[in-house]
Amino acid sequence: MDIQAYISSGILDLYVLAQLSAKENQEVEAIRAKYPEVEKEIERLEITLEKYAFEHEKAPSEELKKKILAKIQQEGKKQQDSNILPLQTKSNWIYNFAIAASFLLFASTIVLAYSLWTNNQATQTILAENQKQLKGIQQELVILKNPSYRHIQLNSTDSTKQQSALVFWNPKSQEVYLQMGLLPVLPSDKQYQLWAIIDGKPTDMGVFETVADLQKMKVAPNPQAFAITIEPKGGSLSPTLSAMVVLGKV
Amino acid sequence: MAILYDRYAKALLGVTEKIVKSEELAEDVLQEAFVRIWQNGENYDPSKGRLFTWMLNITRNLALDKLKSKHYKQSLQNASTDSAAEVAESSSHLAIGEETIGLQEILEKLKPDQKRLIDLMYFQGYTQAEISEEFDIPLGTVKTKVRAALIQLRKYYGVETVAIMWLLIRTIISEK
Repeated sequence: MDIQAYISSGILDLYVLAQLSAKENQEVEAIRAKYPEVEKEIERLEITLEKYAFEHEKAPSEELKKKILAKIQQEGKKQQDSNILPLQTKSNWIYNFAIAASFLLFASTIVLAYSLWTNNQATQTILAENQKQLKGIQQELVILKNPSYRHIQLNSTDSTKQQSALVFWNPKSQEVYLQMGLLPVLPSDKQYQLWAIIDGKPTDMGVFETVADLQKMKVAPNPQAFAITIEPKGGSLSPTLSAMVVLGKV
Repeated sequence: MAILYDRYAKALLGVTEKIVKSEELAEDVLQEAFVRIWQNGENYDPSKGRLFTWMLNITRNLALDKLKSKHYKQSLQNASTDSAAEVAESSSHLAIGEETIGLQEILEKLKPDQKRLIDLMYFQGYTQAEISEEFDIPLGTVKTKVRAALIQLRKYYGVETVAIMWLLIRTIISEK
């Protein structure tokens, strides 16, 4: 099959924009699994659209966020009231997710075995990358939905600035994950650092970049609050309190 | 969910406004979109694509639905064709590298019949099926010409530009 012709035909644009029929989607998916160049092209298109959208962003009116969150709460209440035991729904979802996840892992394992058999180094590296990415994203989703994680909203300490982040803390395993919200970009000699306030004292949770979505930080036994400060690159031993950007109580 | 809003709302709103061309309508669309995103969170399949693409498609489909609604179509017909093109023109600038180029300039590169088709689809909101019916051209011919036009455009302006164009164009597959 002529890959270049396939890629220039525009069918991948339509695929990414969800404009193909179910049958056409299946065809594209078979081809993207087979040809890494097609997979790369799809990723490139997605990133292009994402960049374009961010370059042309428009600020919404102030009340919109409140309106939307209120509406979602309403919908949430409706779902609860409509006789479905929340516990059942959650374990249903996790069950389906576990099945989907294991199918995906199974499929990935089969494909990996095949490429080892055909002795193609390049294919192996690409597959490993994809699996790593897939695992990372699956982890993200599991944590977002997992009820044993507490969500701690970190709000801006400066009321004139819109800054936010979200911490997921598991009281049993003490694991901490940080979800990016809105944090301004820093100059290259500075870095953000997460702190947990434990027994009244700030404990270093690690430095992080603003690029990734969900990041695993250090463990926190019994935090009372979380905060993020701006520190010199590499972090500091104790926080620069005047450079605190967001704070949230557990 | 507040986090998804903080991170993605502005980007989604920008694209929505380019499609529906009204701040108020765009915010309505965004509201419905976030509710739907929240309700369908479990259907997002990370192996198929990025989270933002998934959210973008939900939002874009809602925006296109709003456009299709009778009320909007009527008001578009009532306005003179001139002012409709003006409104469309203002949101038709694509960024290529560091320059901003209007869609009209891009279309100049095409043959007259190709240009006319893309123009009908982009500025006047026709679907391929509507063009076929209105101008009595077989649907297959319309689709072939549109695809050929896009392949031409990709040669001049690259994949990214044309992908963005697709993004802003009304439905490009004929309805069943």
